[in-house]
Amino acid sequence: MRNFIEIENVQVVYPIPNGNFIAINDLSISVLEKSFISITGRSGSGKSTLLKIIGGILRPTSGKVIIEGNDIYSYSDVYLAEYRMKKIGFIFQDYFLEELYTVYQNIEIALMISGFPPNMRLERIEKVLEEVGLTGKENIQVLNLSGGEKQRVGIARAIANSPDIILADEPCGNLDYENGKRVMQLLREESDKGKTVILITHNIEDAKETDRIITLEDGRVIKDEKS
Amino acid sequence: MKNRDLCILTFREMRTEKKENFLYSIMVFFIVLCIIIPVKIAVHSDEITDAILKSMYKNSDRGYSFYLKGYTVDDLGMLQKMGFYNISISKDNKTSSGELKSIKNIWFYKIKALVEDKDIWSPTIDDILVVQLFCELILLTLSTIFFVLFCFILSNSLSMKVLTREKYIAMLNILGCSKKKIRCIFEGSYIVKNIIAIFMAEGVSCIFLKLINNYLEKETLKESNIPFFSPVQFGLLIAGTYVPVAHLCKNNFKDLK
Repeated sequence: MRNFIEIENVQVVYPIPNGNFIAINDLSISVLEKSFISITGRSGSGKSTLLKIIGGILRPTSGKVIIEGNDIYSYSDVYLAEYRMKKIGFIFQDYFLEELYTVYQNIEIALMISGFPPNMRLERIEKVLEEVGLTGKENIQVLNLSGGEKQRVGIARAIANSPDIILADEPCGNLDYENGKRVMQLLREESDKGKTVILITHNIEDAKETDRIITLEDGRVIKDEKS
Repeated sequence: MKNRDLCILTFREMRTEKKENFLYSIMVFFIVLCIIIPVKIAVHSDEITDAILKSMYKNSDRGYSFYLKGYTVDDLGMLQKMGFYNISISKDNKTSSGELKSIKNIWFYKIKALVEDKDIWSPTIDDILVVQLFCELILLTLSTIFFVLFCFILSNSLSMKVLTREKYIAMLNILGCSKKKIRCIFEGSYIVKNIIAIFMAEGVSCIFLKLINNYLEKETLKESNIPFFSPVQFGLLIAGTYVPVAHLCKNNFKDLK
């Protein structure tokens, strides 16, 4: 398998009142295609910053982020938006769903942005909802769903556009054990289908379910091991 | 993203925070009303003054007499174009005079004459015309103040909107919606809300002007022709409210990637 994501000497520096805070410090890692990896570390170790960099949300201060041979940050913001739309599926701890919209409308937003044909949307949404075990819940307002169901809607939205990379930021952070297990199982299924899944987690049990664990501290990789 | 989807998201956006949207539209309606009515009255104040003056001298068939200073025989055609009749041009250039049937656009002619180092003046109605111009300026100043107020309300409303919809905006951005498209969604929702308010205000102002027309007709016994709807003014109003919306949206979304 080839290197799908290559991060080369990336540094992220945030200006703070008394100087600069280095969130990511000369970090270099590469991720193989179709792999399922987890990034762990204490709060402030740079996990979420790294996820934002891979996701095309945050331009690093220096260094390169090469996805499929392209240094994504050498392009404009418009290219980055297109990159997020086509290549990335995001899953967040607090779901990032529009509570007043229905499950269908929430997933439809991702399809609308990517220009998915309107007449094929219902079929696509039904398929992804079936994959996450929410068949028949299309017309329910997200407000009325449980935390676990909301996270599964988040996963359904993330996979609706068939992205190559799934970035999950603490997806089980707000869930109980059972729902957490279900979410991890869904991420594993996506990885088995050929997607590259990067999971950010505090939970070592969740990390052990992935193929590789990268541990960060003060913006550097301190441990990189197979689980 | 297709335009159809952009419209759907715009209308969905309008359906969120219904109470706030309703209140915003009502406020804009009153403010636009306070802009339109003074502007319309100011623009037609000369016609209104004309109708009132004529009603005071119902039995007089004569028009308004004006002294014309600085005009020569060469200007005769131009004066006739302005509507002057019974024109007499004296050789000493001091006692030239003419009459006008209506004082419509009189201030335009007066200012034009002043620019050309000439003068059109009347000892009898110049005082009234000064009062009319003063009223016109006050009404236009009032409209300007209300337009500034509209910009403030729009700016506050948009800032609040961006704050309350921060998560939704971030979600759209993360899902790959470009800054321009996100701006379009919010810009669109504000344009639609403004247009609803403008249409309502335009309707009420049309009724108001119709009533003024009826009053003038009754008082002057002549048909009053103040147009209660002007497509040009309406177009300017739409454009005038669109410009601040576009500018403020651009400012509020400049930090998005």
